[in-house]
Amino acid sequence: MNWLARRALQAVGTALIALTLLFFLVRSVPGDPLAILSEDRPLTSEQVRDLQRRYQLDQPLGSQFVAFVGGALQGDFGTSIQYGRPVRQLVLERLPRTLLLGAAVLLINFTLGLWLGVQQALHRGRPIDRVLTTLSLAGYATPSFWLGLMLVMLFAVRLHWLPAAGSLDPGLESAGVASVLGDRLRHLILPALTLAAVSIASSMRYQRAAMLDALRQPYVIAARARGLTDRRVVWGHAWRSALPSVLTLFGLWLPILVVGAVFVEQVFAWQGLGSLTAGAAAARDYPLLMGTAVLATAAVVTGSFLSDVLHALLDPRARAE
Amino acid sequence: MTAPLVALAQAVWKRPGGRAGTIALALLALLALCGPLVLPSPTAQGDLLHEALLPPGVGHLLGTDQLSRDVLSRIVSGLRLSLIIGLASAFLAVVLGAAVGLIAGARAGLVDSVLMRMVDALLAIPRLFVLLLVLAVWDRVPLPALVLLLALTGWYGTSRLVRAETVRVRSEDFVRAAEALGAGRLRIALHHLLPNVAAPIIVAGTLGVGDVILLEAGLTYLGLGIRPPTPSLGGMVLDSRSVFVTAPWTSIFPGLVIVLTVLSVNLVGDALREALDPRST
Amino acid sequence: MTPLLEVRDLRVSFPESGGGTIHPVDGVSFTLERGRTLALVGESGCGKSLTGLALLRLVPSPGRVEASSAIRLEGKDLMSFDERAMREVRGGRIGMVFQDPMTSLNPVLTAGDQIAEGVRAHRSVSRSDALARAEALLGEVGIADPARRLHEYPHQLSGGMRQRVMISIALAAEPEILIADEPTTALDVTVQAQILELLDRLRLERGMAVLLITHDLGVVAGRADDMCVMYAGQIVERASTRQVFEAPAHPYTRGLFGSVPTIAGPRERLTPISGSVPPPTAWPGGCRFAPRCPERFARCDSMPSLRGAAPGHDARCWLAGDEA
Repeated sequence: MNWLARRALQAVGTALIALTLLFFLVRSVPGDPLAILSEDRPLTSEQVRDLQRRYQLDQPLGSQFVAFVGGALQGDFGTSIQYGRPVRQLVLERLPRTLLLGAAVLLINFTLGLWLGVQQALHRGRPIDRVLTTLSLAGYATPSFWLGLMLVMLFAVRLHWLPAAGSLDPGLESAGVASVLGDRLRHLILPALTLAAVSIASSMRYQRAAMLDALRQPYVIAARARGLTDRRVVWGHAWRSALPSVLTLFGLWLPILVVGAVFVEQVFAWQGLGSLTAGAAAARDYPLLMGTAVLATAAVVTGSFLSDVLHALLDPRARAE
Repeated sequence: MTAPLVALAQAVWKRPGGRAGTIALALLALLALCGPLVLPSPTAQGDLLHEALLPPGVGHLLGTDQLSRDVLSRIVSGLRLSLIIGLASAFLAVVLGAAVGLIAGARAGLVDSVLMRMVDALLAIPRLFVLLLVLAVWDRVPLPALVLLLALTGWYGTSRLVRAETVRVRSEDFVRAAEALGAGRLRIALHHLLPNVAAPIIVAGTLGVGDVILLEAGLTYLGLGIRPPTPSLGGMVLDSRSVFVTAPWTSIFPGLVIVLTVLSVNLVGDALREALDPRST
Repeated sequence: MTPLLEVRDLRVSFPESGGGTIHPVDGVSFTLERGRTLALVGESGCGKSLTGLALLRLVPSPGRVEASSAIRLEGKDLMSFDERAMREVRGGRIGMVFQDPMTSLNPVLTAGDQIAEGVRAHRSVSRSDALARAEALLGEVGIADPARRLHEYPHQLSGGMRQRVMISIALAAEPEILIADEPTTALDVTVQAQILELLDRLRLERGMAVLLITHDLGVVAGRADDMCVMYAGQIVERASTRQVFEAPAHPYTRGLFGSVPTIAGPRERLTPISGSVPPPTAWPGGCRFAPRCPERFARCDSMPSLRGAAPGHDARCWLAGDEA
């Protein structure tokens, strides 16, 4: 318990420092923020007032900082310049769709990705290992926004197999559960595949390395000496002992749900946090951008914490510390 | 000092992945440098009525875009820019990270704690978001500033590496002996530390180049980053969005070049990593 | 009486980085009899551990047991067994106790689970039955409070307990042969004796044949009925333990004894063997011990076979037995 509390405290500390850094980050940019924000389009006096109030722009730096942190901790980031609605509201609205996409990508990564990594380790050095490594590296080297476009071009435009954008056909709002579900799935496939393709390299590489390490251990030969089948030795012993370190990857994936999706969501007009962020950046919607940035940071910190907890749960040795 | 580097280069060449990556990179670099000598100008617009959106063919090897500019020469321009940005910021990031790591490891105590806590916090903020935030409030960011920004967001891993190695070396006997003999701290650092730490730094730096190229392309695609009319690979993909259905070559080729470049860099980086620590494969 | 296990000309090959092959186990022959302990003695690097693994055909790749080897278990040659049949042999007929229980036990599985899976690999019993059997085994090997230990992880047990767990695993499916590879090397001196006692007792109770692989002559004395001395991949001396201790016939064995300090007896100078064990890549063409042998002579340039030095006592040395 002691360890858990300490680790949690550490996470909170990191988050607070990150928050501080974010604050000073934006202040460090040359120029007057209000002037920049109003450059492309004139801000209404109400917006100006709201910004000033919310971010205490005419106050000394100290109170600006306090206002910022205080607001952030409550989830209040002011009003979006683009939409004119509270940032918090917009974020909460879009969160579920990002989570859905993220869950799908996670699923692909932790089934296909892990399995491929194990296969690579079992056939280390042989052609299939090299081919898979090169393929996954190619995936990693692919810009997700471009891949999305290519997939849309092929599957949506040329073949008409899958929809090009959105998460649900507008006409299905009142249709039965099954067809809604089916349609959602159809919309989910391309974005999920795109994001999975560029991210699977990490999962595969990690699993491969962990598996190679486990297979080298004396307890693997000892397991064979008991007359266990290959399958039991590979999965019940080698993979099982590599599992804790691979699952720590799981926690580090939480931020991918929020971050990696920025480009993919934008390309597929997937109405989640990613496209919200992309739009906010293009429109210089500072409050909204700050809101998603803080959320993304919180996700990273939480993910890292979760992965440590998971590791301790799964690896009996770590609990001893 | 050069002998280990030569050995490293040989080791990379020996591996099929490293060799393929090196050859590909050399070809790409050649293209980027010599291309402008033989290709039409990337910004020259031809007859908009007759020469826009031409498919690949004679005269325009990869076709033209909607403003009748030659796609291949725009790609070459964009590639050159991406490579420069990538190399420059990766290099800067490595230098910065090494400096911070060195200071943290050498000074220890409060300085070390503060620096490392800061690195932890910086690592928690996703790189893309930092860049988006800054670029959103910084209008028309000049190229050197973009390079600096990318470098300033990419040094964290290196600093941790260098710090760990510094701490390790610091406690070694030969360092204490050197100190006792009066050798200055900087001299010790450079002489003893560098050989050990050079390897992982080189790997991190190489892989960093690929990450930067992808990031820059993405930022430009979102409308931040490199601004038109400067040709850029990400920008070309952005521009192609309205016409890629009927003119796929405006979209396919810029992206493919990004893939090829980053893949080659990563293959080389991977081969380097293998060469420096065979057990990791 | 047919020996329980008869090993003839066992050869293990590994590919060399330069392109050739080396044979860390190079033509080893011995037999195991029911109820008796055979010690395989040698320094590290002589190939004794590989020999043990080879009997179970578990030589790690890229090494392999050469097809010319014969490993006859009650007359049937294991070399002709397919993988499925070998799995039945492993654990079911030949059990193995490994050297370092800290690394030979899976850290993320409980002791009970690892013993139970050894049981279930050879008998179709339910998990709870297997665990019950595991608990019984833990008791048999002298672990107090076996019910509790069943659910503990290796890092929670002491070195001696871990080794007892390893022995339980090896015995889980009631094998007739037990290979113990340096079973006490990783343990404290006080615990060593207990483990050796345990192995002895189990052997007698179950009528097993034990192959005791060790580098420690002290372990051999009083525990092994017969012994083989290994050097550079070959057996260089083979006899009952008593015969070897009373009159070692091979210069290497004599050297081993000369370099072991004794508490009893006159205080003599230790005479370590000069030089060091050559790696398989640097084996001389003739007798492999010749470069370090104080008694070498011209004939040693050709490889001696195992010759009779006395009835039931063979040594691979031109000086043994008749000098034909």
